[in-house]
Amino acid sequence: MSDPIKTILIVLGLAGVYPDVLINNITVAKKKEAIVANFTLENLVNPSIRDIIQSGAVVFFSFEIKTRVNSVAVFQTNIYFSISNKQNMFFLGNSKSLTFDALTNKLFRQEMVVLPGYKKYGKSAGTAQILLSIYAENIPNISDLWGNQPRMELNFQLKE
Amino acid sequence: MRFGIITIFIAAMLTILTASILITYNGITQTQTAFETGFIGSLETLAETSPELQKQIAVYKAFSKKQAVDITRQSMSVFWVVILVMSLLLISIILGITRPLKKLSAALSGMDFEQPSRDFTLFPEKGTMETRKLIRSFNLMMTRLIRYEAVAGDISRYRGWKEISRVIVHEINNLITPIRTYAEYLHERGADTEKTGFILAKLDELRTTLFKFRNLSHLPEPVFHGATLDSVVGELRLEFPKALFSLNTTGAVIVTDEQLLKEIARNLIKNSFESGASAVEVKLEMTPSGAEIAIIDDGPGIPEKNLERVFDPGFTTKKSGSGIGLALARGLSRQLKAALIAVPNRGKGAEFILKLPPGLKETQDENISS
Repeated sequence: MSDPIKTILIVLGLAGVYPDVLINNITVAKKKEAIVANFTLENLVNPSIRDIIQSGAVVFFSFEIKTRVNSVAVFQTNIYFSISNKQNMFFLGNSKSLTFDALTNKLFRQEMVVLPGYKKYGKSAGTAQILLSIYAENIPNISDLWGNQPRMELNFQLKE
Repeated sequence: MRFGIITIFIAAMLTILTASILITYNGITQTQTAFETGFIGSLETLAETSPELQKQIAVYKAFSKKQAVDITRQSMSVFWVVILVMSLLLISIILGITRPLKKLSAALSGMDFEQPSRDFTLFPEKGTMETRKLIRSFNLMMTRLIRYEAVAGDISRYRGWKEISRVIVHEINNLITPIRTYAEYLHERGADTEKTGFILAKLDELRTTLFKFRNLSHLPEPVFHGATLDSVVGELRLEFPKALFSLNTTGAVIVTDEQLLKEIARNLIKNSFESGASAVEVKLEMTPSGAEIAIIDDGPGIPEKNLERVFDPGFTTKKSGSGIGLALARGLSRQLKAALIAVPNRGKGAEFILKLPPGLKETQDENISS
């Protein structure tokens, strides 16, 4: 899309200023005693957020998971991690140093437990919501650097 | 046509909107770029020793695109207001043009032009200046058409009467001649001179009346020339000392046949006195559309149903009237291209108005030049 058209669409609110966080390839699977969600993530750290991290700011990402079985809230957790930068190298939590591409690859595929110990619920229907958030100290509106409010909802059927 | 205008308007608005978005956005980003290369560039040099300042610069740069978009949107909100106002204006203008025209068109399609006076009422002058002018012209055209409808009716009636009167005059004159010859013969022979004298006198009266009828069927051709209203009034004043004359101007020249004009006025004033009026007022006025002569009396007046019939030859409500005076006045007024009308009673008495048309000025010029 050419720049003038993109600019017009952005100003008219038909396109975002910043890229959307894309959640794709969502699947639900049983793993040991838990139900896990697998998905891919893109643009979680877009160029604007990357620049802020590179300036020395520590940015936190959280995945808030809420699961209901037969409409009853049964599980809630918050998975979060930070990304920081030192001497042009990125750090995912306390991980070893990563290049930006390596960081992006590491963030691309995600697996999260949405319901541990599923067997105790027997035959029932479940729904899991995952809401992504971003925080940084002294930058209250950093979530505006995402083109959307990323979230997903998973429906699954438990068998006896 | 309406949709064509709206499409053009929308296309124009979209073009202006697009252009203004791009111009505003580019202007803002250029300002930001200048700010970043100048002030922020200097700060970056200082920030090498201040990590916090580095973060703030990075945050500023990250949000600069959003700021540019936000400022552009705010500027555009003014534009939206302008578009809204202009759209409302356009709609009101379009409706202002089309509504009256639609009504006019609907009224025209249902109108019987054979008898325009039957359905026509004046259209209210609404809409844009051009539309009002159009409606005014239409109203004027219809008013004239209705007047011509009445005149056409008059003319056809008048032509009929003219033919009848010509025949009657001829036939009665043929009858009078032998009667008169025999009456004169008997009178000369001395046979009951009192009775034969009476018969001859009545025959003379009958012949005078016949001559009047003959005048009606042989109206003289007018000779147009410049005449002042003062000179018209002057002679009539001497003839009718009891009448009150008023003139709103002095020295005003109209182009008419002065003799015929006096004859019309004479007939009207005479008619008023013969109808039993004790006071007759003759008002002469120069108007923007020509000249107007009004004859107002305090007589018994004319019932509304007779307002047109009073001009029919032979129609009279007077005991001794012949019904020729007003018919002759109407006929002569036609010769002068003027309109003679009887006005509905506005109280006591009758009122006749003679309207001399504005076209006479042109006639004068033509006559003078020829």
